[in-house]
Amino acid sequence: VSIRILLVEDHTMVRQTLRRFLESQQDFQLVGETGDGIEVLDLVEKHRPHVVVLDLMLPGLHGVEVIRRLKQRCPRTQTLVLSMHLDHEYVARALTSGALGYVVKQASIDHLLTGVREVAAGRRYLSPPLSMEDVDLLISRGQDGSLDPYDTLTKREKEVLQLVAEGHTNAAVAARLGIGERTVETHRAHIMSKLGLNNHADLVRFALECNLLPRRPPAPDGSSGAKGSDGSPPGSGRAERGRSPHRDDPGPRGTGPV
Amino acid sequence: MACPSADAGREDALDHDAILKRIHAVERGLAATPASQSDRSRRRSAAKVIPQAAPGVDLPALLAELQRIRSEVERGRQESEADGRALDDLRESAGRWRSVIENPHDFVVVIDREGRYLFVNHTATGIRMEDLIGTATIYDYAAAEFHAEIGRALAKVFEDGKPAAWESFSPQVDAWFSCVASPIQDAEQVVAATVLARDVSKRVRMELDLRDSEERFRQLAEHIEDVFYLLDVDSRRALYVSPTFSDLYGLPMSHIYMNPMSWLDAVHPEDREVQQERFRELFAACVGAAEAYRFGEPHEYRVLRPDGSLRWVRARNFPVQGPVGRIERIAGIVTDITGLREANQRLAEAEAKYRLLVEKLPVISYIGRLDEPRTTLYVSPQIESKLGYTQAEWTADPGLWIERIHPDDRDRVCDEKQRLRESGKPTRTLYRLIARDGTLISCRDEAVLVHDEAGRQWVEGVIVDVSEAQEARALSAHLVAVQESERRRIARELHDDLGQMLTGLNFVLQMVAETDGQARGSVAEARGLVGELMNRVRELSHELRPSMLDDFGLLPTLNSMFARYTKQTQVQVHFEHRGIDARLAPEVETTAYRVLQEALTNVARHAQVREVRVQLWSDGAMLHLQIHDAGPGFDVASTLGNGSGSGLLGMRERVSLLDGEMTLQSDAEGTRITVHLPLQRKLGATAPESAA
Repeated sequence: VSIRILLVEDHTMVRQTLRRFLESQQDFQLVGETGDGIEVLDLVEKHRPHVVVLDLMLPGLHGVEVIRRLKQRCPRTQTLVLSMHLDHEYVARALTSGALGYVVKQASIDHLLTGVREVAAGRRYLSPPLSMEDVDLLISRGQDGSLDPYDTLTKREKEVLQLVAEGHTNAAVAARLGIGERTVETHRAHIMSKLGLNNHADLVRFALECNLLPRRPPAPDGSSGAKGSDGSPPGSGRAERGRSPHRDDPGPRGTGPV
Repeated sequence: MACPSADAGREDALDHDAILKRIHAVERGLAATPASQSDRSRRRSAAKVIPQAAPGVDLPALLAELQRIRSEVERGRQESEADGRALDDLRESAGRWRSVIENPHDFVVVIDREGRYLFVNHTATGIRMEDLIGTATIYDYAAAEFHAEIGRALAKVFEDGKPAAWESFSPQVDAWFSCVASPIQDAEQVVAATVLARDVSKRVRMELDLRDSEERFRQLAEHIEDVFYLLDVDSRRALYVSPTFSDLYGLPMSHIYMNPMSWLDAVHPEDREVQQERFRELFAACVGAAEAYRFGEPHEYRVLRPDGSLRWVRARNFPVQGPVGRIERIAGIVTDITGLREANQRLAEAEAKYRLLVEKLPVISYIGRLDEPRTTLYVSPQIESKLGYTQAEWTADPGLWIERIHPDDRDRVCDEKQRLRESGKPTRTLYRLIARDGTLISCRDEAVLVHDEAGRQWVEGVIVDVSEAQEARALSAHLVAVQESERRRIARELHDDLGQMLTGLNFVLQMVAETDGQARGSVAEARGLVGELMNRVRELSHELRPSMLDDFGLLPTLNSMFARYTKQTQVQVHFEHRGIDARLAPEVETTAYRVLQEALTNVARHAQVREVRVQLWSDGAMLHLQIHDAGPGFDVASTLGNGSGSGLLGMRERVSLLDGEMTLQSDAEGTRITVHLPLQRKLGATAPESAA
């Protein structure tokens, strides 16, 4: 049983060379070839190849998009990418879009042939120097960048934010921190633009969301401490962090008596 | 009315004391004399005394005392009944006492130990009897500052049994009273006191006024700095020159008395001739010979003092006429106006500078109100040359500004102004104004919010014509865009064309090796070279512009870039991001990428750190980028100033082309570059919502 192959490569010279290699293999059967991304889907539906050997840089439709559509339309056809790109980002994109293997063009032709056979057998294949671990790491990292807007502020900006949100005037903040009032103004402006805030109300809301301020005044009987310990207030979505620009400040800010 | 006891005031307390004695005597007399002549007055007295006396405990005691005195008098009368003269005396005294009691000017008051009113003969206008008797004290009707004095006086009366006098002011009556208090004694102690109070407001006020005017005169005399003088017309001599002359002119007083013209020596040479002529005219005018001189008109000149210092003075002369109307003397006053002139000069200079700034710079300044009613208080005259409207036209119609904004920009500008009102943050808005002749003018409007004492909001701002700058900017943006697209094209060609050819070559070589076993060694060598060439081409292409930026966008490109960076420099990149999963406008992605590229290069080159923190986040309106390293930092101003920061300048240029902002901080915490890029272009962009 020979492996039915569709060759997709826009560079004619490269395609011809590749064809000769592929045709020289006993177990391979080249069912078609094209240099155009849009044509690929029609050819696949027509020839039902086992494997599509695909260059990522194609006129008409980008290789990654071709893979995605192939996966939808003909899920049984496997894709082996053959690309100049060494970046793991490309590899990760190709694999998450539905490709099963990735061979870099500077690798030896043997790797391409192995790749075709592996992919045809339903196994993942990456040619050297690609590393499966690196690619997996990249894929698993996903899109969550874990940035906390609060952490984009400088130490001083955090101090100013805290005091301003607590309702102190610029003059009071300046006096407290031993800096000029104009400097406080500047810090405020930076805070506002970094956090995308428009006015003081936004700023206070942000401080509340970050648990910089107590959500409600501490209960006089001291029971607020117990309340705070069983989790963050509803709707906050974050654990109480006890964030304070003053490092030596003990305990969470939201609950203790201020 | 001739009042026999009118002089029984405080001036003669003893006299008043005598009157009081007579009161007792009269009581006796009245009781002892059933004569019809006294009947009416007795009834009247009783009608007055008894109902008006306080219902307190003191009254029965007082009446009992009076009764007791009466009986004693009765006994005494029996003892000396033959003495008719005594009776006459008593009758006379009764008349005097009555006149005291009934005197409408003086108040006769009986008070107890606490100062409570027990009896008053009459009250002042506006004060009812019942407000006093039994309810008020004498203190209540005296200003607080006199209470102590009254207390001392009453103590003297009640404790020592001696009369006492004081003067006090009553705010209720608005009058000054001279008061004399005398004891009314029981057998052992003083039970009450009579107080005779006389209104002395007129005298006291005259005294006070006199004191005030003396004080004013004294201050004037001691503090005046001007020079006064009095000249005699006939002798042309100085009759009086105030001592300040010597200070102002720097000449001894003897000079001016010996030679009244000597002051001219101190006049600045350039002014001397004129002043000499004026002085001559002054005397001529006194004898009617010169009409040119105007008395009272100030003339200013410079005084050059012997110590070399210069003063500006202002002199005025006034005629003093003698009994027959002839001008006999000249009174003059010289004021040092140096400070005034200097201040004026500075003010004029400042004003000129200000005016130059406001009215000559190619900038339209304005002051207006945003809250209703919208008004334009001021607009500088440049409005006319720029927009073709006069200052008056512009200020008369506050709606004109909105009207002349390009319709596409109008909503956005209104939004901005609204934001200014709400947040108070200075705004910088780019928009287009349509001049009267239809010319489109690109403007940069920078406005700040100010509050006046009344709490009203005012907007002060400048409108700068940035049409030229806009063109330069457009050119610059074009150049940047051209550069990017060139790079993109070359990178692509390198990667695709050259790369593909090398790929082909690579495969061909492999084919050769398979078919020709002998060439295998050389082919392997050639393949090695081809592989190296492919790497070079790939790197070159990537350096010019990573294809990934176009293919996948910012986030993957940055990830890849950081990996390369760490590999090349050993500097770890701690990357955090949020809200940038979607593709952004290509120019935003490119700018962010280029800024980051430059910043990381700087970190590797200068910061001497093993780690750099990169934060990239978006709030939907802006893309924010922050690069922070904990390195030793550098002097931002000098680096930017001396040209070594050309990379930084390039970053700033790129950022500003997108209307973004870049700040650079370098301090003990390290170096921090923060970039804010609007995700949508402002100029010409349609605002998402209308402010109206």
